[in-house]
Amino acid sequence: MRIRAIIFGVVGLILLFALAACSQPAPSGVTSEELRSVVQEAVAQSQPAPAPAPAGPSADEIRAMVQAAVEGAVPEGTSAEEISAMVEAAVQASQQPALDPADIEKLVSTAVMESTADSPEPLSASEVQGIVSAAISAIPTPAPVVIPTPETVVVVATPEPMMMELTDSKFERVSIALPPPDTQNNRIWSGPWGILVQHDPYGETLLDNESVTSAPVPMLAKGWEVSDGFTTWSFDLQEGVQWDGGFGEFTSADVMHTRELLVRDDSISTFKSPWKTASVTTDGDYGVTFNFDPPMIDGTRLFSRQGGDLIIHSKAQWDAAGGDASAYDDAVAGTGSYRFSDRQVDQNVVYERVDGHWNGENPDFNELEWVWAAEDFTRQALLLSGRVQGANLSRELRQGAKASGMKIVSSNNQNNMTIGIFGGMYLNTGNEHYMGPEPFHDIRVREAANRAIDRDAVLDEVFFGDASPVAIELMTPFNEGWSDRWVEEFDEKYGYDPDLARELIAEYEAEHGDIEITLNSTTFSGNEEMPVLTLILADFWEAIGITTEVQPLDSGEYNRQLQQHDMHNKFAISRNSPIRTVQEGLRVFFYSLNHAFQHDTMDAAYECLVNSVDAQERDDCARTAGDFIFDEYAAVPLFQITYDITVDPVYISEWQYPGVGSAHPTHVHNIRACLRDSCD
Amino acid sequence: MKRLILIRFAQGLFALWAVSVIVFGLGRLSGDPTYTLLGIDTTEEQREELRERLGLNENVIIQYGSYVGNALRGDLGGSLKYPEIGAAGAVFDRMPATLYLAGVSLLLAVGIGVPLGVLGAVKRDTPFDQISKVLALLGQSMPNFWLGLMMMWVFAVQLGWLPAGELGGIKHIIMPAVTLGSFQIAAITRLVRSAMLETLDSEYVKLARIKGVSETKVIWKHSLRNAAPTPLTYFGVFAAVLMTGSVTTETIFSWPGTGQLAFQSVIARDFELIQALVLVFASIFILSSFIVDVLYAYLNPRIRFN
Repeated sequence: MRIRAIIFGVVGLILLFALAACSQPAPSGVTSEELRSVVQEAVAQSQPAPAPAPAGPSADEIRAMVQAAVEGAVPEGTSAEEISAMVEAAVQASQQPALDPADIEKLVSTAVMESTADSPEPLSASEVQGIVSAAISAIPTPAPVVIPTPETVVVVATPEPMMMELTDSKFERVSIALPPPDTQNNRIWSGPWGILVQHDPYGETLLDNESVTSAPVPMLAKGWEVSDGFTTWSFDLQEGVQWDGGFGEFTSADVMHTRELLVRDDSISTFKSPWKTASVTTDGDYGVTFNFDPPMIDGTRLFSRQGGDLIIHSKAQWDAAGGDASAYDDAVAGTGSYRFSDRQVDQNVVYERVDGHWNGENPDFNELEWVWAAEDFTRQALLLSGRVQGANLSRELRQGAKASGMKIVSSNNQNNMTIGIFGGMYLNTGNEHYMGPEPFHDIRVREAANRAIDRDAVLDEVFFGDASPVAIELMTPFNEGWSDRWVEEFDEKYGYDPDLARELIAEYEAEHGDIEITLNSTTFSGNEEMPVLTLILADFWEAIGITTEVQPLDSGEYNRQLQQHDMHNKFAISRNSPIRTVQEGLRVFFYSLNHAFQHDTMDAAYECLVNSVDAQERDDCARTAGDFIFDEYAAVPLFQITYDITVDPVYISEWQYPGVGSAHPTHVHNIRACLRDSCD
Repeated sequence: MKRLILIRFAQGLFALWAVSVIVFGLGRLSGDPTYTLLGIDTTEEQREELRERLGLNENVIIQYGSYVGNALRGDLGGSLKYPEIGAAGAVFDRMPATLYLAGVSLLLAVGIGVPLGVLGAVKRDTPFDQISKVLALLGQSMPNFWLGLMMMWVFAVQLGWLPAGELGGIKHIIMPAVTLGSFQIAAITRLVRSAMLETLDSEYVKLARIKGVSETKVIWKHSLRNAAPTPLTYFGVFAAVLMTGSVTTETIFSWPGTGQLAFQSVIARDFELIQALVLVFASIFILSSFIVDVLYAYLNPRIRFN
């Protein structure tokens, strides 16, 4: 058992290090072939030595094995000290229990994704999947341990870990505690997209988001085509998909019907506006076309859950109920791998597994339950007392849960960007909200505000190290217009330098008088750290001579001030979640009809993106916006975070989800049961 | 007596009207609910559409008139959070959970508070009295959110004896009821103790003792009955407080009652629901005060005839 554990551990770690090595940023990018060969080479090197002696390899032997693998896998230029540190970590970690295949798959997947981030030609989802599959299949199965005796040779199979069957009562139901959504019913049009957490388990969209990469992939649509300058989006629908509850087959009529639900008069769905710009036509039962005016560049997001809410509902069920808004209230039909079962308002929603899902999704648990609990502490207590097996917890409470043996399952992609917004920046030509010069209008003040922040300390103290710094608001490497310059110059332009910040403020105050700023503070679900972050920023700014006042607000008033251009001499921390496309981000945060830093340059960039379907032109416009944001210190870039669920490893081994939707997890069919005593 | 009832009834109606004006006005002053509901992604066009649908663009007087007219017909308005059942449906759906919690808390408060108060007075200045005074002080000074969280940590997380919340059977009600009742236990203990101290010192109690009436009878029959009016008056208010739910206790324990509903409706700026809740809560208070007044008058002829 121990030997097997060590072999597994070493194999897993070698693989991990090999892949971590692959993930070193390569100036020229990594092609799929290079990546595949490195992975396979690493895996090949991890073949175990001939049957070891019963005592197992010594620490020196392990060290030698790992050293060989690491040296073979790391790129040129890796220092001896770095290799040594990796080896030491591997040796220490080899004392840990073996990684199970699911853990290894996750490690491989993550490493592959990181290593391909800089690839000049992004790999397709299938290429990535191929690499991952190759790596996984190459992981050797440890040979049985052979113990020689003087007279006979007895083959003793290594004892298998205690594996449970999925029929065990432990897997009857998996319960996850979450904050209650704004509305609790089966009406997808009754609230903003945060409510969709209760529709994801049973409902499906035309396009899915791949659970690791988040890339759009077919779901209820088996293919799609974009034409006429992004005005026409045509979908070929899956055939033979049945609605549960006996409402027949999924067809194009259901797609039309769902779009109509979202644009109802009483709809307050987040994407009502874009859906209203579309007219829909069907081509038989299995073809549907959306015609947008203006063009819909962002369609793959809109038709998937990454930025959309078109969770298809049954027209047959609606019609059977007389077309009344209450048609789905008692029970709603779906096509997903869980079906709606029961709802106790303000308590829970329960879903049952659907056997034989049309797309092969096969959830491990018979039932899924969302348990609504408004208080963070209550959710922690529900988790630690065993009432639920997973909970959405603030970072602070997560630490306590981890100390009690819980583990964190994070979205595979960061989906939430925390940013600081300078108020009163109504600077575009003719802006009626401009009321004369304000401190934040001066670039020195904005630079000082940025340089006063010790981001490393904030990362450690507020985020417990569980976040990534952001070099620039809105822009990400996977969006249009990205420039490496922003990262390369970040330290030089935004690095922590309180002395320079003090000088800049003193210079400004000598000319214009003292600076007094109000920092609006609020909390959004999924961003519990915002109020603390606001207080810390106030402290940093007080330290450089800015007088601050922190003003706690409820989210409604907070939003109103932003959107009504009522932010003179104010600052607010907000979030870009899920991380939007540049076009959408500009609309929400920079376009002069909304809020934040309003400027002719930003208006022009946004309008260019709205009107252009030329990739190069769009990229240039997005980069122009990015350069402006970066060089003008138009915001305070802070951190990116994933969506995290704290789970009990006794029940849940893993949960792969991409990090889409509005601050909640998706892909519930990927909640995998732990078949051992514990899968930490 | 009839006149007294009529006067109290008229006063109750006036109070209800005043409450409706105040809550309607405050609801409008608290801000535009569309900003809470729709978030920052939505367009101004969508926001305007929602305002129109909710009637927020109408003149405030017209809005109030329509609100009162509907309320008199039993329609307390719609709900942004619970559009499928409306405001009245949301409130009355949660009443059973709140009444269940309130009932158990009342039982605890009376079952523990009265004996503690009586025995504290009888055993005045003994260690028992000191302990009961300390307990009463703690009960009244401990914030119930803190008590609830601590109990949850100890009894649900550490010991695993009780569930961490949610509506359910006997085990589920214990912690919320103790949390909600702790203040009331303490208050009743103190009220009963001080009322009992007064009666135990009275001439008729001394006479009863001289006549050789047993001490048990003196305390539990003669003294407690005469000490009862003050705690009973408080009990009426207390019952109304409990029946309108506890925001803190219900939220901490995920108890799906009116208290949690109130909390969520305020967070969501579901103003029609807030109005409905306040109106229902006010009605309960007014009704409870009305009953107490009538009972008091019935028990005390001096009030009746004045």
